[in-house]
Amino acid sequence: MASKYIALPKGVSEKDFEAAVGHFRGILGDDAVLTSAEQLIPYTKTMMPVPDAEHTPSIALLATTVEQIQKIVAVCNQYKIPVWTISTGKNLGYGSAAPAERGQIVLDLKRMNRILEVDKDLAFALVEPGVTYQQLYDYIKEHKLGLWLSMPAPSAIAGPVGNTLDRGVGYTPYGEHFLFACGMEVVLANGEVLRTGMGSMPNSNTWQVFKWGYGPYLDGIFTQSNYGIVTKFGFWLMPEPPAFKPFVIQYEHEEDIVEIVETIRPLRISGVIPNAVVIAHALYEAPVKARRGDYVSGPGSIPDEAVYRIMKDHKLGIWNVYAALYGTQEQIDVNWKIVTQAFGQSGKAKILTEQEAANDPAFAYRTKLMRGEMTLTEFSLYNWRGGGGSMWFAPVSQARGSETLKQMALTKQILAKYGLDYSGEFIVGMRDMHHIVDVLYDKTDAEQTKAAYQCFDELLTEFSARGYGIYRVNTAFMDKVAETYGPVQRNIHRTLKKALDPNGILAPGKSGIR
Amino acid sequence: GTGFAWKDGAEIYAKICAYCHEANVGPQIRNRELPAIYIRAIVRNGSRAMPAFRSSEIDDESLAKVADFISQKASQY
Repeated sequence: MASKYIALPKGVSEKDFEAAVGHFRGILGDDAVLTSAEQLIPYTKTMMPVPDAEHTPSIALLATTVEQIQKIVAVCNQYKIPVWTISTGKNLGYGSAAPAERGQIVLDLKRMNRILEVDKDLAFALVEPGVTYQQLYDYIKEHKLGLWLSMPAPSAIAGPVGNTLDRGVGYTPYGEHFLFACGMEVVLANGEVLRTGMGSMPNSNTWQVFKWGYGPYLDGIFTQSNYGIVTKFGFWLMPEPPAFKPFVIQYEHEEDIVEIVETIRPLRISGVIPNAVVIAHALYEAPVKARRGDYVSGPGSIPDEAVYRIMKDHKLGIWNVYAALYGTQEQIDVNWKIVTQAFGQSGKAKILTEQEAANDPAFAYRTKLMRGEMTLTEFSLYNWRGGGGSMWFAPVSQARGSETLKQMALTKQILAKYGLDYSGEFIVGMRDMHHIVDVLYDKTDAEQTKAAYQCFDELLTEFSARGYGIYRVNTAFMDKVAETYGPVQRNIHRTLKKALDPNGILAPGKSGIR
Repeated sequence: GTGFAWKDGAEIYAKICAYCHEANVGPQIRNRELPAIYIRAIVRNGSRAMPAFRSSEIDDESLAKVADFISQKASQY
């Protein structure tokens, strides 16, 4: 007899699973237990170059309270059922809402979406996992709180909890999201509820203002991990500045990245430029303005000559540095002088402000991202090749010009070998770069999908061989990336896992941890 | 307090769909009288570059409202 489920968890009999589902229905009600293929189809769409069947969930549970989650965890322990937790579930390019392994049940916390507190004076928020940036943005506007968000490009439909738990980034001075996290509530595998930092203390009012608490600082072990289910999350918000000045600096040659990075590093480290600056390649910005098909057809990666034509036709540099100044007008004027002097020295840079570029669609969406306003315009990237194939290849680099050029050249060379384009950008920390490359391919094309898989695998192999590590990766490659960080770290992860989750029910496979 | 709930089809369109479909990311979908059943299928399944949306994000009732909003001739936005 065919199973009534579209997949079953690994090592769980249908009889046991059926019993567990009965318990879940008792805890949540029938409407919040999704079992049919029709209900589960949105959980199976990923952009990865592997069959969707490898990441198909068995069921999905829509919980809204901590107590429900505690009861779900108890059932999972009883029947050894693996549970993959998502918050807003918009982890596009990293596995989306699908579980790491076929048959895992998805605990979908999207409906657990209360904004618990936004403090205007202390500039922090405390939210549940299902809260989206749009929801929070509207709340802040409605209550005139004068606070700015920092969010990744999927802004409106993504959320702070899920993004920060995967250690995602944004583009304002608060762009390193986990750095600005302050206080979590976590349901552990044994059902206990932990509040980190000052939250552990009865009657404390400092949970969202002092990060460390007392003793070992635990928040980090709940990011990119499977040691608990985060149910509340606090983070700091940036006060709206009196003035804001976005700008873009364009360069004409790929080698110019050396000069760009050497110029920008001291400005970033000293705080003259305070935000997470982006150095975007022409092909990262091109999809907002141009169609690949108008410049190239047939197989193979796009030739440099076509890239130069796109630059010319659409007013792009080969590198486009998007940054901003924040503060009073006086502060901005002082820092603008420093910035223009630094970038003006070699005569290679073309500096544009809102006056020249306000109507440019790439400049417009970058401006929104740098001031925490909702925009999904960067999704144009997915139209470059079309067909729904996308993986983020995201190695970490020193913020040193020679290193960025080396990484860029190596990435481009490996992509070209598989007929794919270099659509990359560097997101500039103070000392580090998130080198973010969208490995775009047509997932409806079987050959190209196969090539994309092999390409990504080779990128990981070649980069790790040179000591370049990956900061975050899609669910199909988590084990491979975990390997690159060596056996000692992997053993520690496993030791913690055994101690905190002896039945291995929480998202086995996340970051290669089982 | 209680969690967030969608008001109507126009709100869902403005706060999800429009960011792509009014910004040259996705195709124009307003004023084309697209059948509601087609809209629902695309939203739930996703389509190539377009992500899928789960019932936890847009519940069935709200999806009916937004599909109705989009399918109307000359929908106001």
